[in-house]
Amino acid sequence: MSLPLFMLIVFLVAVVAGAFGAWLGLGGGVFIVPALTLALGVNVRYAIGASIVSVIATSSGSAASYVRSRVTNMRLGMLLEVGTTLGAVVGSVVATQVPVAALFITFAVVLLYAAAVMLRPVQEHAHLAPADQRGVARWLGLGGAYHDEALGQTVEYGVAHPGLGLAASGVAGAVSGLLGVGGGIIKVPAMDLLMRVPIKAASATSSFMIGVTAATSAGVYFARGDVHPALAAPVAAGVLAGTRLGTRLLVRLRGGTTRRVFAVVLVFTAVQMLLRGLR
Amino acid sequence: MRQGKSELRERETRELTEMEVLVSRLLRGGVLLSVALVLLGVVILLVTGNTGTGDFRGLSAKELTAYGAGGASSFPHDPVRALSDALHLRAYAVIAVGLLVLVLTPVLRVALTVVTFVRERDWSYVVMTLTVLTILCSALALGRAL
Repeated sequence: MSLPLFMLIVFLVAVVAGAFGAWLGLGGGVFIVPALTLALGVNVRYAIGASIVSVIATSSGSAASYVRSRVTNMRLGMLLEVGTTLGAVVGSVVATQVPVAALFITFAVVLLYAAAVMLRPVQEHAHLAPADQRGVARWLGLGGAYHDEALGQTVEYGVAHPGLGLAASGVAGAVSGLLGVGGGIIKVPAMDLLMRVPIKAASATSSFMIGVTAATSAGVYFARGDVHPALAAPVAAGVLAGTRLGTRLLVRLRGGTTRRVFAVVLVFTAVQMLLRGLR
Repeated sequence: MRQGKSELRERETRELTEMEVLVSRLLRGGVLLSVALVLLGVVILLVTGNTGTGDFRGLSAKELTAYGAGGASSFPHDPVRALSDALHLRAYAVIAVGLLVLVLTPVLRVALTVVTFVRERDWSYVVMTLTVLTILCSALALGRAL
């Protein structure tokens, strides 16, 4: 196969991966790395390098929309970014040192985790009243407020367990740096369950952090020479286009049956990645 | 006292939002510049039949994307080297610089956030944001050392 044709195929695969990622609310990275490695036979280090660049493209390209929504808690985001960027440095450095098999196996574990997250029923938890915020969270003024259009009222909330949240962010950053994914599937449940941040604010704040986290690992990958121009260019362009397509044309999946079908797809992909790792 | 503090917070939030609008415009500009450079690089690649490190015609995509391969398969990954090669319109170097611009857009965002928090005299957040900026900038240096 010639190089231009190969780049065109990579682009088309990235469009599909980006669209599915946006559709499921998982981000393009979860699909692009398995697609590149399993279907197109791309080296996993180049696949991860290309994927992490596409995560930045998606994040920076859509920056304006979540700013306008005002749901993002910037202060909470800045605090957690200390954790995600530190984790990203550790993750990306470890990724360059471990054997390829370890990357495949870890990726399989994260895919299984993503399937479990997809099957978890989304339910709103009781928020923490701003006045009940304690210690560091109170001192830093981490709580926030946003206008909920569905409820027609302003939701004010306090933040619980900033230390645990910071630790979870470190893990999210490490996974992002290790595997070239955004890491939202770890951050959102952490903010929701541990820090008791309302799910809408948690999702918006997670998206806000993704670009900075991905840039940290992308810096390591670029300088090391794992960002291959002939792969990263079509992947970034394709995922960017696919994400736009996914968010514009398709309604975010809520139906239980469809989510279950995709959970099965994720498990199947995880098994393939695992087999590749063990081969 | 309590009321005064919440008013102050509201004013801060408003200024943060204004700054965020500016930041999001800059981010979009960065993405557009990056896309333009990457496209230019791809056009040069197709027109010249050369990656900038060698002629790729007659070589398969598999050979050209083999990990760490040399010749036409190699590409600049040192920022300074990539920039100087890009000025000579070498395809892979132009694409690499475009990707580098993309990687640097979030750095710009964090740097501008530092400015916002300095203006707010919110020192604990200035320290926090500077920490993030330091980690972010050290990543490039770290990758080179590996």
